[in-house]
This record gives sequence, C-alpha cells and structure tokens, in this order.
Amino acid sequence: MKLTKTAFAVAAIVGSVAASAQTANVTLYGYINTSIENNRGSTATTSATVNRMTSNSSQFGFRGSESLGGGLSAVFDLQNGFGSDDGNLNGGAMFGRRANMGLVGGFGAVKVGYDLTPYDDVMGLSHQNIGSTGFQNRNAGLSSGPGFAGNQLFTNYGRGGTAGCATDGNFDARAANSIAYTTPNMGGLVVRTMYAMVEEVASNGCKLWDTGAVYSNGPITAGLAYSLHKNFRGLGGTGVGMHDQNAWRGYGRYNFGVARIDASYEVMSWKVSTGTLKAKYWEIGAQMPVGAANFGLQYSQRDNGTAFAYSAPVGYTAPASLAAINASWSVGGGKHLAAVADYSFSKRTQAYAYFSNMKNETNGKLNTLAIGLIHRF
Amino acid sequence: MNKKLVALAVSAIAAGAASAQTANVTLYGVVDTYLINTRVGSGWSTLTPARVGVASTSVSALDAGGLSGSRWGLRGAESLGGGLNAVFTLENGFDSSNAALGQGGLLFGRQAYVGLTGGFGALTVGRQYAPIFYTGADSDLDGYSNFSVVTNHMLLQSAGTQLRINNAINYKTPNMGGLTANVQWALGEVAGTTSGGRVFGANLAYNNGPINAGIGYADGKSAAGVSNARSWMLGGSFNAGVASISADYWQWKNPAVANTTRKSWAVGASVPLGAFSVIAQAGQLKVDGGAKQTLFNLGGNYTLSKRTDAYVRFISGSNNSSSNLDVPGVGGPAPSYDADKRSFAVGMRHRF
Repeated sequence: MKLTKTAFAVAAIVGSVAASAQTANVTLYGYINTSIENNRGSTATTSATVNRMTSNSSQFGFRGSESLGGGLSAVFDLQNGFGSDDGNLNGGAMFGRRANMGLVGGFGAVKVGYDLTPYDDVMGLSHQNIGSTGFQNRNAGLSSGPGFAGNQLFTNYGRGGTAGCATDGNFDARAANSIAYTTPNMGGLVVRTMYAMVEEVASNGCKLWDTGAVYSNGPITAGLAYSLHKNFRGLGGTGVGMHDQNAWRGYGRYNFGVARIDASYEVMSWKVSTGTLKAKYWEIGAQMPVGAANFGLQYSQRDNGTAFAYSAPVGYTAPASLAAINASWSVGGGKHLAAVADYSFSKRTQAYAYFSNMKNETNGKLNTLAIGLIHRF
Repeated sequence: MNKKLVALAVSAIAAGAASAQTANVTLYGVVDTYLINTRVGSGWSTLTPARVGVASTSVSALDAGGLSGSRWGLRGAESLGGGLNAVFTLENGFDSSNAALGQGGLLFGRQAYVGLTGGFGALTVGRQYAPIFYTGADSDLDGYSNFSVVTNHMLLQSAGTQLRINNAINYKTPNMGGLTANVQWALGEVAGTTSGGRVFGANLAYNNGPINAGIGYADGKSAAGVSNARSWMLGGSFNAGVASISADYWQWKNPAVANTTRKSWAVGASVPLGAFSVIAQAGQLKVDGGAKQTLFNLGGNYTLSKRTDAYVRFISGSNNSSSNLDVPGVGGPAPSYDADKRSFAVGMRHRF
C-alpha cells in the first residue's frame, strides 16, 4: 500500500487527424456527500426506526472542451454516480448521471446524449445550500422529485424520466437519447429545451419534450418549466397502455441579502384509462447566511389528488392494476417541513445537519435527523 | 494516432467555486496479473457413510491481483486551516485478467470514504477497511497477497466482518509515539433495531521503526441482532535489516452456533537480496471437528523499478483426513477431503 503520489497527467487521444495547436482541456471533478441518518417512520398503528448511512448524489466525472475557432467549442461531460457509503455503481451505468457531448458557441449550445431534463433546471433552484441532500430536500416525496424511496409514505405518480418509460419516477429526471438546445444568456434569461426519444424500441413510441426558462438578475431568480411526456406507460411502472403526462412548475426567489425567500407552484397531470389524474404542489422556503453558516427552513405540500376523475375516457388502455393506482392515489397527498443548518469549512467542504418531518394524509409519518459531510474536488 | 500529454486540471465542481487552494487529487493504481497452475490432489468427496473417491485435477489460469489487488483510485486532501483537513478516497477494484469490476461489481468496491482529519485523529465515513485488517497487515510479510498464509487464513475464510465494511463510521486516534487505535461502528440499516446487522471493530497498532505489531477485534451481528461472526487477532513483524520475521494468531467463531471456531497461526520470514527478495510463510488452520490444514507460501520478488516488480510463488495447502479446507486466494477447484492443493504462480505488478 503506497501513500505518495505526484501530479496527474492524462493522455488525450486527439484522433488520426493532425493535432491542432489547441491542447485538450480535460477536468476531473467530483462530489462526495455522505450522511448518517436516524429515520423514524410510523403509520397510524406501527412505527420503526432505521439508522443508516446514505450517499447523496455522490459523483465523479470528466468534462472538457476544445476550442474549434470562431467562438465555437466542442464540449463533453461524463458523470458517474456511486455510493459513498458502500462503493456501489449507481444503477449499473458507468456514467449514469450524465453522458453528453455537443457544440457551444455564440448561438448557444446543442448537446446530445444522456442528461438532466430542463425541468430539473427549475426544480434545482429550490435546493438550499446543501443541494439535493436526503429527506431535507423538499422535493423528496412530495414534489416531482424522487419520493421516499422504500418508505412509501407518499407515492410517486407517473413514470420515469430515467432511461425507460415504465419505471416509477417523476418529471424531474434524466432523459436518454436526448437532444437539447440552450439559448445564449439574454440579459439574465436562459431557455433550454430538450427532445428525447427515451427508449427507441418498436413496442412504444415514448418520447419527452421538456422546456425550462431561468431568469437570474441581481436579487431576483425566477424559473418556469413545462414537461410533456408522450406514450409513457402508465402509473406505478405498469407496462400496459401508453399514456400522456405533463407538468409545469413555476419558481421565484428574492434575495434580501440578510436572507432569501423562495416559493414554487407545480401542477402534474397523468392521463390514464379512467380519466386524468391531477396533483398540485407548492412550497415556500427561507435561508439565512450567518458567517460561514446557513440556516434554512422549508415547507411544502401536495394535495391529495381530489381531481381524480373516474369517468372512463376514450382511447386509453387500462393499466394492469387500477386498484393499486387508486390505493396509491389515496395516500398521495402530504406535507413536508425541514430545518437545515450547514457550515462551510471552505468552498469545497461543508458539514450539515437537518431535521425533516413528512406526513401523509393517512397518518403516515417520517421524521429524519441527519448529519453529513460534503467534499468537492 | 497522435497522442498528446497535457496536465489534467482538477477543479471544483461548481462554476465560480474555485478557491485559492487548488484541489489536490491523486490518480493512482495497480495492475497486477499472473499466470497460475493449480493442482488439487485426489481425495474423498464424502467421508460417511461411505468414502467416495475424487480424482486429482489441475487448471491453469490468468488471474489478477496476485501481490496487490488490481485497482485505480482517486484520493485527495484539502487543508481547512487550523490543522484540519478534509480527505477522501475512492478506490476501484478490477480484474486485470478479464476487465470485470471487482468486489462483486461495485464501482469503488475497495474503498469509498470521506472524512476529516486533524489533531484529534481522523473521523471517516463510508466503505472502509475493518480495524482488524490492520493487524493482519502488520503481521503479513507478503502484504496480503493472494498467496499469503495470513490472507488465506484470516481474510478469505470469513471475510464479512474483517475486510471492507459498508456504512462504517471510523475513528482513528492520532499517532502517539507509534501507537494508534481505530474504533469502527458500521450501521446495520435494519428497521426497528440499532444493533441488527451492525459490525463493530477495534484495533490497537504499534508501528515504530522495525516493529509493526497489533491486536484487532471484529464482531458482526445478524439482522436479528445476534452476534454471528466474532474474531480477534494478535500479530506483528520485526525487521532486523538482514531479514524480517513475523508471527500471528487468529481466531474466529460464530457465537450463535456451537463448534464453529477456527484457529490459525502463521509465521514468516523475508530476506532482501539486492533487487531480489525471498519470502517464506508457514501456518496452520484448525476448525472445530478436527479439520486441519497446513499451508506454505514460498516465493521471490524481483524489483524492476520502484514501480514495477515480477514475482513467483509456490503455495501448498495440505488437508488432513477430515479436512477439505480450500486455499481461496489462489482460485481454481476446491480440494476434497484429505486432498492437497498446490499452486505455482508467476506474475508482474505495476504501480502508478
């Protein structure tokens, strides 16, 4: 076991064409976020506690750019996700968080491959200083973010935006086989739109069209996103029938200096055989910096889906288990409160602690107390 | 093909987050591949009610990680001021004979942790070595090679609580005149219990000049919270210059099941001869019920440079009439009762 090492050199294979004067510019980067949590889940009749260590979006990646002259650059980003608690390869994909390449220039940027949807550009604005970390994340469970994992207090409605149209998922996700265009920055406004042929198989024509606009100028940050899913396969990952889904989300933030406040509103719709399911979500939050520390408070709420329509429509095949969907729907609503504190040792290293309380409409609860460490390189 | 060497920039992930400190990240690795021939002698597949004979067999293979597991990794440290540092290690294991991911398909299956170090010691969280692992390392002159007697006794007979531990919180004391200790608690992540599935480990090590010695302990519990893997080890080595010598004693049992105790001892010596070094190890493993295996590891290394060496090893595991214990490190077929397993390996290791 050796413990010393020198600087790090990489060989860039430039290809068979003669190398130009430009040097390859490749960056190795990473983010490790590990927390230790105490989770207490309960229903009206039972409760259980789980202590665990969790990896939160831990990643490493390579990105680079090559100037092609005339303001044009070729860029790429390959981003791996792994478990900083157990070393696992997330999802069995080497670059399962991002794998794209493209051209950037005065016209904006065009990127192709596997990438976050523009919906996430707006979703991500809601994150507090520690990013998308565990159950403090107000998106967890309630909004279109990944919900509650195995705890099942809230149910995710919808489909996957990951590489597959049938998985349980949400509107905030990554899309495979995507092509995205980003405008140049127009006085603080950047718009990104993405089209994705998610699965590319003959049995379904599922595709996704996602657009997000983000405006940042001085103390004001605002965002608006719209997501359209065509021919996704039902709720709860059911493989029967193809359905259309859409969602939109608006976000606003004002930074007073001493503190910032923000709010979001979101409407999600899923067409199924029995009609259209609709869920509404809103959130408010505040965050205050105190020296090297930040203190944040978040509250969010999703309705219980009273807009569910049981009238049979025309043109949709029933999902495999309507009963299961209805059962899920009945526990769909919930409330989430989180208090977060973080302390920055440096720009690259942070420690944090949070308390999160989630409650659903059938008296399911999840209380989480966590501490964690973030390190970037 | 036109290759160009450039410096690899390592930068903070968020735009605008680049601080005055540059990130100090090291890419490192080992590629270690060897050719091995293993012969398992004739024996008995069952002893009762009737003995059934098994013929001898042999296999040749190209395998990986002979002296050191093939790996690549990233590690770094950031000074936070006041003696405090943020540290991380992400270490991948792979099979350099067939390119597969190691450790059962994990990306960073060897190590994945982040933590803080300082005057207080080190507090790290993630997938980490069990404290008892360091006791074996101090006692093994063959450095936990696949052929080592220590490896085949302690690490491979019952690896679960003694090698790499998930979800582990580890505290390491500062070095106190050569003395360090680790205390490790790994969360079991079982609902409704704080003890179910947990792994506890501790060790005390003395590393000073020619002496490397220590004592280690590991205890794992089932999901139901019952201790089912408990082991301890005492061992060390002494470097006298002309030669190094080592000795260790290891014991493991499942306290929940009677007659599961495994006991082993090993001794070793290595002699440096210029670019060559010669290693010899011998040991014995006994299991409740009368099974006994005698293990020898003989070989030599030739150093081609500080980063590259070549090696040969001969490993012999002899079972008594009631033993079919394997020599797991060398792979190949497992021996039957009363059968011996002998391997000859030649390989090369390169470090970067």
